[in-house]
Amino acid sequence: MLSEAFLRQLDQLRLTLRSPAQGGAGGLRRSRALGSSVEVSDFREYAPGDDLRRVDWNAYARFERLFLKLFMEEQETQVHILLDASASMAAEGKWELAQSLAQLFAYLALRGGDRVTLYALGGETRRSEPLSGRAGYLRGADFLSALRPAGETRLCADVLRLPLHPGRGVALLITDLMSPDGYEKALQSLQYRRQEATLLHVLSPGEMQPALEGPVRLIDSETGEARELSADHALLAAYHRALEELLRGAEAFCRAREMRYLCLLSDMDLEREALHALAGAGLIG
Amino acid sequence: MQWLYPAGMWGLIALAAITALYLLRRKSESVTVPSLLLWQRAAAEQQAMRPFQRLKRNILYFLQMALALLLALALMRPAVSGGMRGETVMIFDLSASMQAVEGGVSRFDTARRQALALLDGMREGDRVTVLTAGHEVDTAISRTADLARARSVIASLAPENAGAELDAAVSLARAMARDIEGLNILVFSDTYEAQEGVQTVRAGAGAENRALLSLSVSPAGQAFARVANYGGAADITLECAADGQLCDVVSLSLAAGESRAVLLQAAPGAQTVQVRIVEADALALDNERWYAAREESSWRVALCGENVFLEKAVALRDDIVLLRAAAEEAAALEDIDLYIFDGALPQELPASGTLLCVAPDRPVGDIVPGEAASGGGLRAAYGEAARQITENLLLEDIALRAWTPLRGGVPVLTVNGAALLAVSEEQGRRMAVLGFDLHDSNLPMKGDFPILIQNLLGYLLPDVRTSLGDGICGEPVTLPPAGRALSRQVTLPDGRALQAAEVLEDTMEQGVYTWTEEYAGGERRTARFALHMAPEESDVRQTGSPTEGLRLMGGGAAGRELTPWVLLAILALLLVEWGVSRRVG
Repeated sequence: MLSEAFLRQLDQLRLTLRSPAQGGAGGLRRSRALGSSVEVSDFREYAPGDDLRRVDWNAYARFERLFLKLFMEEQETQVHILLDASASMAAEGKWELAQSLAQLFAYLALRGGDRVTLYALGGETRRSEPLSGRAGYLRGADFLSALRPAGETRLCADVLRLPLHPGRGVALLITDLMSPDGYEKALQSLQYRRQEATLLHVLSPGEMQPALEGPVRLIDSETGEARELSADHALLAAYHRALEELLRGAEAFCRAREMRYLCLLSDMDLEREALHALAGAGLIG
Repeated sequence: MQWLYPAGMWGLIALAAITALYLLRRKSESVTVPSLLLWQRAAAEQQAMRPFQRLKRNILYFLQMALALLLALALMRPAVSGGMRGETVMIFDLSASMQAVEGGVSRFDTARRQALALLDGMREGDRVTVLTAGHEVDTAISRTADLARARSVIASLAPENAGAELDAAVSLARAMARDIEGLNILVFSDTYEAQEGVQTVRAGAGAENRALLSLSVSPAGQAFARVANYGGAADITLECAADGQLCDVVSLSLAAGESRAVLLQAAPGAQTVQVRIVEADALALDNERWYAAREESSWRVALCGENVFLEKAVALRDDIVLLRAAAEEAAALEDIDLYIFDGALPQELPASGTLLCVAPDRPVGDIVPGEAASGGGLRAAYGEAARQITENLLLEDIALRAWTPLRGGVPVLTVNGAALLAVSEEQGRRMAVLGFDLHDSNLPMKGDFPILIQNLLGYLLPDVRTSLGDGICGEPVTLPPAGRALSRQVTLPDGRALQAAEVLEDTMEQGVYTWTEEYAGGERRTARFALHMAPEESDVRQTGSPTEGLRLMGGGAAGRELTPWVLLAILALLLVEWGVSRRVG
C-alpha cells in the first residue's frame, strides 16, 4: 500500500492523457462529446429536431437567426490497468514496483474521476470490479495486495481475451515483456479497441547485468525448464544484444504507434526516481 | 630426432592432469532466472556460430595442453642430427649383463642403437674411436674419420659371457684425452657411473632375472644346484639332465631376492650333468649350468735310487703308479711320466717324461751343478714357479751340511743367493734339480719334506682333476704340461677342436670343454671342465643412473639440440594464452 504521505504528494498530480475522454457518466475530463456543461464550445444554426432549450435567444435577437449553443461535455474515462502477475515478475523487486505503479495509476485515475479496472495477467486472468472514487481505490489496493506472481505469461493471448469496457479508454500495461508469444499483438489489440496504450516495462538489475560465470544450469522461474549454458564472454555478449534488441524493439514499436513506453528498473525508489521518470515520460503531470 | 633426456616424457602426465582439471571444472551451477527467453535467444545466436564458438570456448584448454606438451618436449631435450663436432671415444660394455633383454631388446642392442644415433649426429671430419671392454680391453677402431666404417664396426660388436674391464678401458681413453683436446669419452653401459670427463649412455633400466649360481654332483648322482632370484617372488622349474637324458624336474617358489640350494637327482656315473631353469627371464645365459665328471687318470713314476723318504713322499699321491728301477734301467721302462734320479744319473737320460734329479753329478738340461759348498740358510726365490713349489714351506728350520750351487734354470730355493733348487722347461718337458743330497740335510725329517715333494710333483705332474676345474668364461685356462703326450687338443662347447697350448685363451663360450691327450700306443687321457658366465653379472635388477644430457665438447650438444626453440615456443604460447584468457575470461 502506498503511504498516506505519498498519496498526499500524488494529490498534486494527475494522469495525463493524449486523447479526450469518452465515457458514460459525467466526469472531470473534457470529452469530444458536446453536452450540457457550462463551458460553451461553439455555435451552429438550428436544424429541425434540435433541442429548443439550447437555442441562443440573445443571438436570435441580434441576428434574427436561430443558433444553437454547443457546450463541451465533461465525461469520465475508463482506465484499464493490466498488471503482469506471472512468476517472472517475482524476481528482485519487480513485483513490488509493478504493484506500486498499478496503485499509483489507479489512485491518480480515481482521483481524476475516472473509472478504473485492474487486470492481473499470468496464469488465470483476474480482474477487479470497476472502481471509482476513494472507496474504489481502497478496493483496488486490496485487490492488488491479494495478488501473488505465479504462472506463465502469455501476453498476447491474455490481452486478446480481455473483456475491456467498450469505447475509448486508457490501458496501462505493466510487464517485464518476458512473454514467449511476444507483446506486439497485445498492444495492437489494445489500440484496435480504442485504448490509449501505455507500456511500462519493468526489469530487474539482474536481468540488465546478469552476474553469471562459467558453466551454469539456468532454470526458468515460470516453466521450470532448464538449460545448460557456459556463461562465458561470448554468451553474455549475446545476452546483452538480445536484451538491447528487446528494449529498442519495444520502444520503437510504441513510438511508431503513438503509444507511450517507459522502462523502469526494479531497484528504483518509487517516490523519487520512478515518480520522476513517470513525470519525465509525460505519464503524470 | 633423438631425445637427450627421455625420462622427461613423464612430463606428459601434465596433459592428463589438465584434462582432469577441466573435466572436474565442468560441473555447472544451477541458477533460477525470471525467464529463459533472452538466454535462449543468446544461445541461439551462439548456436549459429557453433564451430567457432566451441573452438573459442575450448581454446584455453587446447592452449594449455599445447603448453604442457611443449614443456614435456623441453624436458626430453630433443635434438636433431648434424650438430656434433670433434673427437669421441666410445667405450662399449661387453659384459654378460648387457645380454639382458628389456622390452624385447637387449641392453647391448639399445647401446648400439644409441651409439649409431650419435654417429648420425657427427659431421664430416669428426673422429671416433671404439673401445670394447670385455674380459680385456680392445680397440675396435682407432681415431677414424670414416664414420661408415665406424658404423660397421659398432654393428659387428657383440657382448661376451664374462665381466667387463671398464675401468681399464676408461683409463685408456683418459690417456688418449691427455693428448687430444676436447675428447669426448662416452661409456655405453648398464652399470658404469659417469665420472668427471666421462659420460655414460645408459642401456637398460633394470629387469628381473633368475640364475643358477653353482652346480656340483656327488658320486652317488645327487646334484646340488644353487639358484638365486634377482627379482620379485617367482615360481620356477628346474630340469636336470644327465648325459642328455632328463632325470629330474623340481618346481619351487622363491621369495624376492632369495637364494636357495636345490637337490636334484642325476644318474650316478654320468659324465655330464646339466641343470636349467625352464622359465624365461631377462638373462638366458645363467639359466643353464653344467657339471663335468673327472675321469680317473694316473701317472707312471720311475724312482731310481734307494731313498725311502722320497718313496714315501711320492707315494702319498693316489694318482701315481710308482715303479722302482736302477738308473741305468730306467730308460727301458715304458710310458713313464716322471723319472726321479737320486744321486748318479744314467749315462743317457730318458728321451721323454719329466725329470726330478736329486744331487745330480752332471748337468740336467740347462741346469748345471757347481762346486760343493756348505752352510747358509735357505730362502725362497722370486717367481711363479718358486711361489708354487715353496708354498706352505717353513724354510727357517731346514739345515744343510753340504750342497751344490746350481746355475741355469729358474731358481726356486737359494742359499746365499745361489740356487739350491732349480726348475727348467724344454719343449714342454719340465725338469727339476735339487742341489743337495737329502741325507746331508735334516729336510727329510721335517714335515716340510712331503710338502716340498708334493709341490714339486704338482709342478712336474699337474693333477688334471685340480688343474682343469670349472671356471669363469673369459679367464684363461692353464692346461697340464705336455709330458709324454704326443698330441693334445681341447674341444669347445660348440664342437670346435683346438690344438692346445699351455694356456687355453678361447674360453668365452659357456658350456663343457673337453681336454684330450694322446700318448704313444693309442693311449688317450680325457678331462672335462665347464665354464660359466661370471655370477656377479646375473643380478640385472639395478642399472646405473639414467643418461644425463650429453654434453659433447667441440660442438656443443649431441646433434643440434632443439630445446631453446621449444622454450621460445613455450614463451610465445604463454603470451597467446595470456591474451586469450583476457578476452575469454
